[in-house]
Amino acid sequence: MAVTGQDLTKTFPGTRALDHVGIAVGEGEVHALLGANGSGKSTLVKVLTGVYQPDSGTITVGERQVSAIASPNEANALGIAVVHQESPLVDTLTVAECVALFRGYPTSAGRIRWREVYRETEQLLDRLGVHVDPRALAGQLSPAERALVALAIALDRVRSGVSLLILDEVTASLPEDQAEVYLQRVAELARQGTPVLMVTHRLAELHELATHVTVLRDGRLVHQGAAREVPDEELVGHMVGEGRATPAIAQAATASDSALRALWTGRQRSGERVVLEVEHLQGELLQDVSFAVRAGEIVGIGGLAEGGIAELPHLLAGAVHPLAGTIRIDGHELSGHPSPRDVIDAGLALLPADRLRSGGVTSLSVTENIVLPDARRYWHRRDRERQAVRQVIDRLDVRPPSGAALFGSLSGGNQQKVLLGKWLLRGPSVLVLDDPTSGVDPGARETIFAMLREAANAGLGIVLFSTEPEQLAAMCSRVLVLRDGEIVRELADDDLNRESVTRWCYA
Amino acid sequence: MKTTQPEATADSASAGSPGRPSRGARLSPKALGSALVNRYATVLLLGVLIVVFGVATDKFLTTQNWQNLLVTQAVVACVALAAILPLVAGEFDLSLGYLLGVLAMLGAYLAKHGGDASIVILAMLAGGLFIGLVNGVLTVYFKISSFIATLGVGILLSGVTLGLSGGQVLFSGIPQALTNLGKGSFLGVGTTVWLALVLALILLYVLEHTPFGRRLYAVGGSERVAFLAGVRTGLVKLAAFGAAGLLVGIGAIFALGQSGAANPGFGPDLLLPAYAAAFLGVTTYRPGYYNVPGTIVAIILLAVGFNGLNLLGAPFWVQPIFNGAVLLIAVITARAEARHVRVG
Repeated sequence: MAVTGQDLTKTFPGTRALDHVGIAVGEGEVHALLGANGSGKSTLVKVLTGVYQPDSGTITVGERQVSAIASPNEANALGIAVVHQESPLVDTLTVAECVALFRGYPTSAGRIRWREVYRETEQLLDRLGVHVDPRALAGQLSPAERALVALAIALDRVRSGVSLLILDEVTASLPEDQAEVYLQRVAELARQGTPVLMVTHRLAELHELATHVTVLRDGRLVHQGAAREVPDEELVGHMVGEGRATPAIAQAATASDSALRALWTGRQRSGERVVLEVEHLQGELLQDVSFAVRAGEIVGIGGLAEGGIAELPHLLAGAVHPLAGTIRIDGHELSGHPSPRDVIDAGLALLPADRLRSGGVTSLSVTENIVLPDARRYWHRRDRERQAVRQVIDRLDVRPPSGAALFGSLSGGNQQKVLLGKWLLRGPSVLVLDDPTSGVDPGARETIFAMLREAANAGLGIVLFSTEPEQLAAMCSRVLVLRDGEIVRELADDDLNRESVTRWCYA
Repeated sequence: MKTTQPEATADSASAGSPGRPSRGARLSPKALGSALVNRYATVLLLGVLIVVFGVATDKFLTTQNWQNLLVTQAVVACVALAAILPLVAGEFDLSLGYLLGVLAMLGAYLAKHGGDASIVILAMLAGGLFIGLVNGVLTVYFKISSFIATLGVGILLSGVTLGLSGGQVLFSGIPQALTNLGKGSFLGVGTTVWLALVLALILLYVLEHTPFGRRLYAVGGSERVAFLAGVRTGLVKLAAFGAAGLLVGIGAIFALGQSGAANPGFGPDLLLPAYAAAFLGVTTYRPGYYNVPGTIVAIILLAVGFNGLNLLGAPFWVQPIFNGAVLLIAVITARAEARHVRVG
């Protein structure tokens, strides 16, 4: 079985989202689909999964040729399965119930055979090598576990004759070690003959896994071929457009870390002033954590979610209260139970990992999101507000360049730019970033990194939490490795490279 | 290529919020037309109704009729304005109708037992504020769903109303200052109507032009985001509930003044019309957001419909059917974002 799209064109009012694009995924192939946000890759996925119908072109599934797939149901019937980045799980139901939502409940005389429900789910997950209790609530799973259950559900739906498995940026929100487990499973499926189309932002994945690659830009096909032949710089060049494919951009996105470090070493002059001091901090997962960050320094913190890397940012930001320990921001010790307001006023800002739930208000405008931490400052100062918003939009190249645009309507990369701008505007002493580039396209990623670099140069102390070793190695002057709630290692200078970070974080 | 997306080309960085009528934005006549229809469909409907009723019956467009029509809406307007505040913050206050009843009864009870105007008025305002804050504390600090908390408070208050009244309508000793307020007029329009309009303007200013208003919309949009952005979300919600209680207190003063009596059954019946107006308001002015001008237009629209149908001799049961139908049709035909507005 194979799926081929030919000459696919889709036009929306004002934009041509797909312009005569062709793609073919055959048996045993893993086809990577690349492109910056807005390049048309989502549209292509939606055309192949029956969400949109193309204006022209044909889709061939095995022997059948159709001009359009009428609905997601028809796509399923054709054997096309898709795993979305958004989880299909219902937080308040158990894993087994979530699975049963899709495959149906086994019943006898109208009564659910619960034992069978649990057993089926367990088998389903076992086959994928996923160890999750079918009786656990979906809401209590880690993001990685959720993604794996979602994959299990998708695979379960296409058991009989899968013609194409589409992974739509599924690994974007996964920590690297989990992503690896996940991708191993995908590779195995491909070896067994399942054609896989994966949309991704991580070029490293592409090299590990993909056999073919297609790059879209502005709705047009700009590159198609075997994956192994193309260097990263060239792929990124295709993605961002020839004019903008400067070596710096290519290197940033591909994160070949030695080159990156050379780019940024010049900036990392540690000031003398300590802007963040953490002593014997203890939380639910954290046992005893102490570290200090100086002005102008970018300190990375890596490790697994279970090691406390998910908890620490919230402790620093005052969103969760520590069980013990002290935090000093710019020399001021936070006493008692500081609220986020106290922490912000002391000079620390957090860019949280969950952009849509914790980062920005999707139903409000870009302007309203930017002025939110400082609403009082802009009271009766529309001119000041306009200037601030204009500054964020111009400096960070936010698109569309409009303060009135709904935050929720922006692409992931542009949302993150707005949130970064919102905090940089206040001129904090310390900026804590929790996985700032997940679901962010390479172009926006480079803009964000450049901005961080500039801010650090100007004396901002930055704490970067990340699950991507190459990012930590490339961006940071020091990397602290968190394991079992403690800092087990500080990597710096010659010790600091992608391999060492990977080894210490995941080994 | 024709410009089909005027919004993208306009320098819109200046417009603070989506849907807020932007000044100086260049729109083609066609786009302007559709924007007006989107944003002011209820205003158009109101205009159509006024013309239709005006033609159909000569009693409709008389000063006397409009004086009556508006005066009867002053109290509903207070309750609707009160409802908006928690709604914007993503919460519900179901106690508003019961609160209106108990405060009116409290005023009448104090008056009957010799309280003078200042005591009666102060007690009603303080009582409203207090109950509003209780709702807020239950929601914010005891973390009870506001839907349940305010329902509980409301039921409880209905018992207090009955207790105060002893099952009787209280009408003796209502201070003259109150009845003067209720019956007085300025430029031919009832004083209470003017005051309700002033309240609406104050609330409009607070919601759209003060930091508190912006924080309130942010809390309603995402409490977590607002919290992490340093907004003291608990205090903001508490203030919203407290202010809602205060507005109902003012509404109760209007009601007591207008009728000169307190009926133990009064209050709860006004809750649903007030909420209907708030929801209907979402389709107007700033589509997708609870807002004051939209709510005021909605109140007048519903009142005009009721009044006109009455004058045309429609039977008594037509009014709720009209109100329900207008709400549903307005929301169905509104822009998508107005349909998907979050409640509670």
